[in-house]
Amino acid sequence: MGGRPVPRRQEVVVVKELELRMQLLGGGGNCYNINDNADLLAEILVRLDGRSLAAAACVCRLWAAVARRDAVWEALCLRHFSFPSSLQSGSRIHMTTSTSTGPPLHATMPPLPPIAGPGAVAAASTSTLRLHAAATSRLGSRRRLHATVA
Amino acid sequence: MAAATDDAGDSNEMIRVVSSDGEHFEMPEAAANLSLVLRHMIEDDCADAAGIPLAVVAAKPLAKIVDYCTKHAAKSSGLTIEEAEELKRFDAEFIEVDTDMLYDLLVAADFMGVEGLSKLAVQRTADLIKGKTPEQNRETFGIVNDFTPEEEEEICKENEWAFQITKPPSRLC
Repeated sequence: MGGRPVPRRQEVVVVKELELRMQLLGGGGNCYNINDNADLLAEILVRLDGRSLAAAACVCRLWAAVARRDAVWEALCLRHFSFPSSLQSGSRIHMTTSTSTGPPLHATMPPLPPIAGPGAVAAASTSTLRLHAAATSRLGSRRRLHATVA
Repeated sequence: MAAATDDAGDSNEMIRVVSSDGEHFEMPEAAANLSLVLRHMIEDDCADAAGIPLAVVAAKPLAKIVDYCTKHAAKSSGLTIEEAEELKRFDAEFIEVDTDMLYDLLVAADFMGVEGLSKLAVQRTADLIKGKTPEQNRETFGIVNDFTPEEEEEICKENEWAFQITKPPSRLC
């Protein structure tokens, strides 16, 4: 008559429901859920390179929304072009919002590194150019880019 | 009861903190000052013998945070190159944790305002995401794909360039 006690039907149902809830909450019974805090997620995505960020946008709706934030792409562009600290010497690019959609943006970007000629363009890595194209086309859909040479 | 008091900073006073699950920890004041929240509490004379309650930080991540702050406070000023290297190595080992703990640290460091640890945890999480496919990221972080098939197709098309390994866009060649 000994042996392990068999769980009653009601207990089995409760355990099943708990498992399902865990799966819904965290996926696969994992409690870790990065999606609980969108602002933290944004801080994380800001540190990705362009390719990884674009791939991250395909993960789920929240990641797609956060990856679309202009601040994320701006940080990426600014970091990628590691500008020299020469704000005082020359051209500036002013970005202003042209429509009311999206968060307000009044960023003053430091000057782009000087490009000597066609040779310098060829020397720039293709990934840099591709990233720049992807980022500017994204921004360009909603924004005008005003470049003024001081 | 747990405490990380091995290499204390200049300050002799110990600050007590209490985790959400009621566990008590002690750390030197210099270490507690690395947390914005604790610093403000100390400045406002809220640090008494009963300890500062941290309602959203459980014992496990709090023990790690106390370790981190104690180590960093002890080596905060006038670092030699070797000490800086050692601290770097400590950070690298410190953040080698599973995703559950990493998330706990992210949230706790953010809540407590420990800037250095926040950056460390955010960078570590970003490193986990880098170079992965969407499916791999879903698996790592236990995320459910909630796109409709149409949405998924659209977003994948929009970000198609991320998956093209060798072919650069023709207009830039």
